[in-house]
Amino acid sequence: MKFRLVLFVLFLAAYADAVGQSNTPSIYFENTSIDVGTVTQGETISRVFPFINKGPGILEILDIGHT
Amino acid sequence: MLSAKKIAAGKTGQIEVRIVTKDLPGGPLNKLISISTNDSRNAIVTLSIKAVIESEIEMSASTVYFDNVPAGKEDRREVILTVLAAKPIRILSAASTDPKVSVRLEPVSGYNDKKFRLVVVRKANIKPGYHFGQITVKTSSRLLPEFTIFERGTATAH
Repeated sequence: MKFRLVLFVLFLAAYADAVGQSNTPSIYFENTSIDVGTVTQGETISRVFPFINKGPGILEILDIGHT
Repeated sequence: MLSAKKIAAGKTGQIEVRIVTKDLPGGPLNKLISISTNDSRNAIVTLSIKAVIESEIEMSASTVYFDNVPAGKEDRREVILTVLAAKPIRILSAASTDPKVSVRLEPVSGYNDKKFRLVVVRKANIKPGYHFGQITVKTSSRLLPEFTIFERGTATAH
């Protein structure tokens, strides 16, 4: 009886983990670093970092900061 | 700039980074952008942009400091302004916002208007106390039509 209870708890834990994983987003950047090279002072540098959500859940961008 | 705050499964987004270099000093630049997400395995993603900022005009100092000189005595400083050889731009004028300080531009001979001496003079009739101001230098550059040099100092009593 005790063995069955342990098995049941393990099953529940695995199930909860699987459900959690199925809602997890996964952000993927092909490039996280760009070297612009030499620019003349006064120019505006503009570059785009594309990304994809490879996970099954909705990806949320919570905050963007910079140094 | 972010294309969208929420991205559905399998969809793409983009983050556009803009860096205005007008007021940045010449030399290497390394900007880091930190993205916080609800992706538990990538809660924070760091992006980086590297560049080298090349000045069109080099200046020997970005701030002019006057020492504690007694009022009644004129004091003079110089800043050398050099246009990079390959740039077809000219230095046009200089003006100070501080009425206690006068400025003038003198071409350095032999450099074909590519090198100027900015002469900054603190007037003799200054009253004792702290003074500061900005010197605006105008150029023919499209990217950098003007730039600023700061000046400050203290005149002491006789």
